[in-house]
Amino acid sequence: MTESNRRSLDRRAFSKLAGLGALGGGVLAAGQAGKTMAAPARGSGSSTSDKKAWAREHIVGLEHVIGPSFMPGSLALDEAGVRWDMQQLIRGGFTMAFAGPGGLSPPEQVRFIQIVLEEAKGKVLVTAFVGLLPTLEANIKEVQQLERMGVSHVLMSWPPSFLPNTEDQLYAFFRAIADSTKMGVTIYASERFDFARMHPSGVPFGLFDRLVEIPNVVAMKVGFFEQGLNFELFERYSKKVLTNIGCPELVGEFPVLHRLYKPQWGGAGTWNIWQSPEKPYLVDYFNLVMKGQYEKAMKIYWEMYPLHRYGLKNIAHGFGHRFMGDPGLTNYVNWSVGGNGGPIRGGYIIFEDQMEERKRALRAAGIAPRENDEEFWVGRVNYAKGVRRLPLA
Amino acid sequence: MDRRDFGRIVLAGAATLGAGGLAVPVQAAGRRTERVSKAHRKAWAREHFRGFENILVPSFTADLKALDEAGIRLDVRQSIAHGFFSTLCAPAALSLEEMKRFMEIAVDEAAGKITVAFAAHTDTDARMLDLIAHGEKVGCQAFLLDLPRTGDEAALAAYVAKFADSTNMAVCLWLSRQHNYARFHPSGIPFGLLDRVADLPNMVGLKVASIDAAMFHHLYERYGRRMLINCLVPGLMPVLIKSYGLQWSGAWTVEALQSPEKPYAVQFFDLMLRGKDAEGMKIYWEHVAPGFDAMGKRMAPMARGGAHPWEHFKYYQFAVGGNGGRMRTDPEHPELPHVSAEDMAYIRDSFGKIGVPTTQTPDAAFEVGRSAAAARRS
Repeated sequence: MTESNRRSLDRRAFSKLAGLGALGGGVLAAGQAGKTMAAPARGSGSSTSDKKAWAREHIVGLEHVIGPSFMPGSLALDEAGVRWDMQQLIRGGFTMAFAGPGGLSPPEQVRFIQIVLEEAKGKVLVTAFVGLLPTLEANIKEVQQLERMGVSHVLMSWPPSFLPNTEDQLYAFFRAIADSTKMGVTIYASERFDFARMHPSGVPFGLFDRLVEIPNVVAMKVGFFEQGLNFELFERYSKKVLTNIGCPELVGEFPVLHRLYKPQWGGAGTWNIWQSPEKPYLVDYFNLVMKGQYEKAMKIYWEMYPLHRYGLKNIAHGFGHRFMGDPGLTNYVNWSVGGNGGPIRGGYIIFEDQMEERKRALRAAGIAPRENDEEFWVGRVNYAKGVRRLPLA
Repeated sequence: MDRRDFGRIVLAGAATLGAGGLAVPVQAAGRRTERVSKAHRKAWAREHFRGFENILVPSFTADLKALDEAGIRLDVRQSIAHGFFSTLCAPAALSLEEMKRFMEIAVDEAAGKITVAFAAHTDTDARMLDLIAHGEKVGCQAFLLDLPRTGDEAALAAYVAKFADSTNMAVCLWLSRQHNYARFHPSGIPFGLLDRVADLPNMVGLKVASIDAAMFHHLYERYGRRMLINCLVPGLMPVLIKSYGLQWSGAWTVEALQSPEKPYAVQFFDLMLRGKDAEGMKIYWEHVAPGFDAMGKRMAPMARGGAHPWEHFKYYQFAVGGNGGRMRTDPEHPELPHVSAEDMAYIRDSFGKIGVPTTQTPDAAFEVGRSAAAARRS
């Protein structure tokens, strides 16, 4: 993967990440799919038939994104920072950690996920992205490596350079990777795949109808902010796979959807927008909705509403390029409620008014933000060790 | 601009009001002008508020000095032809007397084929009572009540009760962020007000300008049995119909999504109401969603701050057979631009993309309105 400055991953950042996600080698174009598809054999050989039952038992709760931390100056992987963020994620009440790409080389990516897995220690599931690499062989190699490392299940993408014209081509790519692993696979319904040429909604329903029948396809992340589309996806697929809300703008839909479809998980997202470990509003809201305790859930929803409005405004602003597509601000959001923060590769700019806006929203919701922005620039762990921001040369 | 902004636009851009009517106008004709007692208004509304309500924007003579009665009558007939259950008379830069006359013309032309409602919005309580009494006298069935931006919830409730108690007509309330009610509750919903007025016998509906599904959940849970809560965002309609029994939407410029010959929005909503999800969603994807997006992109920037781009509403209607015509400057929002040639091209193109042919009448006719232009030619 080429270097990028993605600190965190979400629906908007994903497309950019996907665009940067190549390890090199030839681009998998539509015409090449057939040649590469047949080569790899099915992975480890075990049955995947019980994966849907496994998923119903285990894919529960909210999945948060975790990205790598880096050392000031060298921008080497900051292992202590990663560990801190994982501990923070667990303290926040999340049940799954999505190890997002963040401008790491392949060996660094492996090390990053190892650290995440070590910190997870059976407390939370660890998930990861696959399908971003430019060749089918590379993706299969990656998914099998993730499986060996202990990743729980994977979110499937299609390479950004893969521009098929038929649903059959998309299916063949997806199926080959799914068949190469025993892990559960999540379908990513996202506008970022530019599938409007197949259906005006951006979801190729004919393809999805087939994907959900694959034995180890267990879940679907709904990453659109299009309420009609959510309705259709839940109507069509919630009885076949664990359909979720994977779009932060839609947290308000959890009660409505729960009444009809009983979703049981959400993510991956930067849910720290709405909460801190000390005041885990979103986790509490989600859990109450899942129990059908709507009145209590709504009480919390309105408590965190200043943060909801903050998120909507910044997500919406500039069609998302400022916030959810802005790795620096996402990093700041996580830091403001206790995360590590620190530099990221590629750099970023955050203005003082953006920092103050975040802090005001937190205070309005009764959360005391981290106040010392100097700490943010070098990372919380490093700052505690005495590291300070370097002066400009 | 996107859906969430568009939610604001619709809310800002439509002083709504709901009124009754059946899905099939001919069958409902006898019911749309009937005198309904206050005590029966909630039941009446539950039967009649089904489908869409549009905005009836007044037409003017070429010098903008007087109402264009023929143009207004044409737009009423258009509203019926579109399949809307109700049409809402909008007080777009009208004097009180003009507003009264506008309502009279609309009810007369409707002839029981569509419910006529109006937006109750004047500057004093006495004039409000006068307008409401007139509406009831001439045969309107409902009005949309705007609310003061100041005062506590008890005072707001007294304000609502004063006007609701004065009439047998159905009353709907309009709530949006521009009302500045976050001082009562973070959501901006004045629950203390609604708790006090929801049981008024003729308090039948709530027009909510929001895209927040949780807000709708809360409102339906709390008031859904007492008031008909509507929704202005097509994408939310399927799940609200299925989960809470949403049955109406208005008032807004639904004409942006259809024509009388291609009534896609009406068909979509009707199919969803009847549980024909697959057919309804097919229309949604091909016509409703792209039409709504296109409308939002053009209109949202103008609707900020609660402005109503009346003239743009008029052009959307003109493009699919409505009267059109230039509008007076809105004294409350003089910053609103007139419809430009570029606007016209955009709107016609938007219709083309959702498979709705636009009028063959040249845009020059929009300047004075279709009726007046035809009269000149003849």
